[in-house]
Amino acid sequence: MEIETRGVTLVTRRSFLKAAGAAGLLATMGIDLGLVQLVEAAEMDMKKSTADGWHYGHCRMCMRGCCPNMYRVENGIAVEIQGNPKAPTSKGALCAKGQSIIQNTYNPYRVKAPMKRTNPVKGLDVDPKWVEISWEEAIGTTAEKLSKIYKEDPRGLLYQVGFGDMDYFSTFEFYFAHAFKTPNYVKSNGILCTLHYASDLIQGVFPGSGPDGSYLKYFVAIGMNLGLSLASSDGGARTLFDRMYKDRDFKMIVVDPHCGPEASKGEWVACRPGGDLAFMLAMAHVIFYEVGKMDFHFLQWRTTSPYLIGQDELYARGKDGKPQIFDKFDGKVKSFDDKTLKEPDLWAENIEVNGQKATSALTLIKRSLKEYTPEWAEKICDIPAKKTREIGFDYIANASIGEFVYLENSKGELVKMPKRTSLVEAKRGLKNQRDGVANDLMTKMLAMLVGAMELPGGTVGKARGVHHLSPDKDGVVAPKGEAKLSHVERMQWPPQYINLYDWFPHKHTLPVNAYRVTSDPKKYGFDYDIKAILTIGSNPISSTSDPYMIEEAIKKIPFGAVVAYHYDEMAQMADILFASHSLLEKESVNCFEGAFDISGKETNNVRVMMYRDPIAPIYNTRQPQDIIMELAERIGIMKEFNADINKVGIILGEVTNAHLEEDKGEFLDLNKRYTVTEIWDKGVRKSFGVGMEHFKENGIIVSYRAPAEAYNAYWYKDGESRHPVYWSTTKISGDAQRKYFEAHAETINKYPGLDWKDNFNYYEPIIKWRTKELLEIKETDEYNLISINWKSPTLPTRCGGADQMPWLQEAAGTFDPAFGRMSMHTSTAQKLGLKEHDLCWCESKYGKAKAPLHVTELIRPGVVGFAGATGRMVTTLGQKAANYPMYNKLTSGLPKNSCAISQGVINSTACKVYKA
Amino acid sequence: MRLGLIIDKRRCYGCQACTVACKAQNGTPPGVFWCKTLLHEHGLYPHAFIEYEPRICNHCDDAPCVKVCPTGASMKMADGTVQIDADKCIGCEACIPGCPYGSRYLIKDKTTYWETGKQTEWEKVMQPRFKVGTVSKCNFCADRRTRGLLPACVQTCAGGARIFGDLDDPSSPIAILMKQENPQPLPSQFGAKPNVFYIEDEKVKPRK
Repeated sequence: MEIETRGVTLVTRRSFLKAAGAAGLLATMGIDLGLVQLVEAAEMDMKKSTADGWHYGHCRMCMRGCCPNMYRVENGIAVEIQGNPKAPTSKGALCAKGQSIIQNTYNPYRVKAPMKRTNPVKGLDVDPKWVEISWEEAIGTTAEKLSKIYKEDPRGLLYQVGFGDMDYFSTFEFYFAHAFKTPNYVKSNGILCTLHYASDLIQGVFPGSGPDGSYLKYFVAIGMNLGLSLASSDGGARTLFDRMYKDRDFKMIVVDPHCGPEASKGEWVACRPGGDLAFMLAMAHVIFYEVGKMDFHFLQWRTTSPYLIGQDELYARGKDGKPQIFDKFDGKVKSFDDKTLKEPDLWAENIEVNGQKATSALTLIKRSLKEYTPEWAEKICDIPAKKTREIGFDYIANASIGEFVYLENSKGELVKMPKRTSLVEAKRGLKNQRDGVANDLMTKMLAMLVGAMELPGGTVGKARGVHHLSPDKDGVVAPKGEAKLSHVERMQWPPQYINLYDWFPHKHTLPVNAYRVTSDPKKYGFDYDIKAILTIGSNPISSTSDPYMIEEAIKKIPFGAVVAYHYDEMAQMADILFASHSLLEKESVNCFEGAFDISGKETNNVRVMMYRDPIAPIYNTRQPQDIIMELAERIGIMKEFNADINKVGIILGEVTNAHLEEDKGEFLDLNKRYTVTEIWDKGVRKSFGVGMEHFKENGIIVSYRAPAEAYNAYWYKDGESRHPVYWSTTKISGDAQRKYFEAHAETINKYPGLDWKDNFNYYEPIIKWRTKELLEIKETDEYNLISINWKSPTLPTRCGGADQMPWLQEAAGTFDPAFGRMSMHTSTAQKLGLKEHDLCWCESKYGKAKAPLHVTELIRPGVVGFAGATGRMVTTLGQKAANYPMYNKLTSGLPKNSCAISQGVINSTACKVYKA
Repeated sequence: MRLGLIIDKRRCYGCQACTVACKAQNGTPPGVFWCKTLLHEHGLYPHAFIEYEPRICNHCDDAPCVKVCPTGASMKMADGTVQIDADKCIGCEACIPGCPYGSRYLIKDKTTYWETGKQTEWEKVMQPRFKVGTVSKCNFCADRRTRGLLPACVQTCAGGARIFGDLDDPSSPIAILMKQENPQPLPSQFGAKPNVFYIEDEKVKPRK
């Protein structure tokens, strides 16, 4: 097997052995023939061990990995793939990406054996001059470098991870970092994930929440996919179409500057990018000032709407220190948990509380919305006032306020639960803005106005269970993750986290900062340097923003090793490559705990534990977890690694964790080096009562929660836990952070593109409208267009190397006229004198991308649209993959170009388009 | 027996899972699409939308491709499908324009999908199924059907847009749906009598 890279033939072990016998060449290539022969023999045995016939698996050709599949082996080759029909979610379906898992294995651009760089000069356009080495040399060299760093200052290791190898048991990723004692566990995934803060703050859930299609009737989807654009086969599309065309009582309004599959099936309401919040504020205005009807019972008993707010913009507290509520029943002010509370007043004003005047949260919210009329919003978002008003009225009219549904709990009892059937939800298009968290919170606010939260038909958490809505001491849902105030307490000086977690405590991931700081840590107050980077399943160069800056930063890191599936940008910059199995070659477990896009009656309460029985590796590759654990062993941190698993648990899925119990003899032996299979075995035995052999035979275990208990609100009665409508926690966090920034302003101000004073404007308890750069763009500006990017069904992410799989390239390129091109409205193209297929540059202040033009009516005038996650900066994955436009070059991860709270990157930017 | 397919265009969203499932199942070479989904843009901003139109061999009862085949390589089978005997096909290509639906493709060479120009181990296994210089098309996954499996495109459709079965069996889901929805075949001036029927997109043809 050979691959060509810039004219240099890379000789791999297999092809090399064919030409073996030339001892001189052996010496040149640095290959330990004895070991290679042993590996070859072992590989032959493994090949035989993959029996002909069907094997169970699961997908990971997108970041979700939640579709169980099956593949059939014939003479050692995977010749057939399909979804597992036994899965109640996918019912045997697989998307185009999932089908392409076969090409993921038989991809000639894979790294087929351990490699080392012989050219010391690094760069994306510089040939590393790889030579094949033994596993012993690869692991020995890396362990030696990392051991030195571990002994001197472990913070010097940047451990770069991503979705690529969260397949699952991602525990091996952060446990390694923790055992190594480096704070620099940096994720390249999640750069756009401005979705965790609001869901955590309001619902105590991770990673977020989504619509319950089981009952939903009127759905306003803003800048989001519902499983169609991403082509998820986990049951979302089926649910949506069943509701639309079978039940025929589902209406979908899609607010988006681009008309994709969702808008094509529903009603498209075109919106100016960045103007969505104005639309939502106006919708709320209509509800408060024109409709006047809401789910008042829900607001009284399930939210902090009646909490009295003092002049200091915080909860007005009684003498007992508790938040206070005015009881309309007897005209008394009472603590929130007073058992005599009968009629919480939602509209209390100027009530005397412990020496100060206080007003109900809902009153303050209503006042704040007064100026946000539909006519005001129209000027910002372009949605006609009449349409906004219509949506506001329809939203309430279809909400089924006051209706109930009876669902069974695990005791067999029928439980009367509120059923709500209107909902507003949003995703990337709305959230990846400067005010992304505020936008997300506003969708939650609109959901709460109709009581559509954690209840049938509402927005439901992606994680289920009793603890998510557990309250804090104020009776309010306690944040469990990224919204926790305790993050603020961890802000250290000098800063410890190379990605600036110390500065942005509510971040999700901050990979771009990590590289900007790495280039000059001392400038930003750090007292150490990055000496090595270890990358696994991650590519911050192709998959974040500012790719050239990141390339330059990596050049300065003295040593880099990559667990590499293929010769991507990170591999190109490495010193050592550990050849990784392909997806089908990786043994894996994963647990589906809830639909990502839209759940339905068939999927809302289901849990699917799945397993991938690996096919024998065809090259000299290894399971990534075992590579990392071997490194841990060589460095001498295996004991800490195992201890952390004992402490935190074994991760079996994104929100599935098997907690081991010491007194039951379940803990890992600290002195033992386990295989990942042995660790999984402990995890699945703990969580599912069966071992790995069961999964090999059966593929999946399907379990169901009792229908009532699939809703997190089931566990709490009225008044026991309240969703916050007034975000005092956010304000408190901002106030606390401000002191840190003021104390270290001189150093912090050296960081480019950071206006931290402006950031704190967004830490507010009630949303205020603020304009943004995208809304100020004028035709006369140099950058007078707005760029957008949407998920394409074939290539929504780069997981599994999807962008280089020829079947996907061909299907998308042949049948989707927007794919691999930049889309522009007919009128905009005419103004610019451009026509279909013209090769153009789209240029922003930060970079540019080249693509042929597609002229269409499916996009708002003045907007330039790119489909999918495409474009490569190396040609070692094929010229085609490299030729696609790379949208990420247009965006910037500077703090001023990110959400003020979550630091998710703004995914639209001012740009111009001209002929190439 | 008359095997047929109903495609519910309302439930198709152009994900191309069927297109790629067909590739993975049958190993067709680049540029050969036994199964595909076309995207049609309709209307003007802001009322524009996409119509998704899956295409596949219609396995016609009165198949023009069978009529024009000079060697009998294209045949109407007892199960209602139209199949090609590659050993009888001389590659005259008469059937390619003969098919009103563009469902037939000439196998030009044994090639690879990869820019390396070399066939992968997978391609080496799959491509012997094709004979260079002959015409190919969808066979409703004959191999899968012999093993009791649905055609790959039907199995993989996440929207549930494809209903496959025996149109002559009144108890089959496809026959029942034929009665309920009255799906229509693609139009043809040749009177081909297709066995693939479409439930129309409601935006293209609003439901009465």
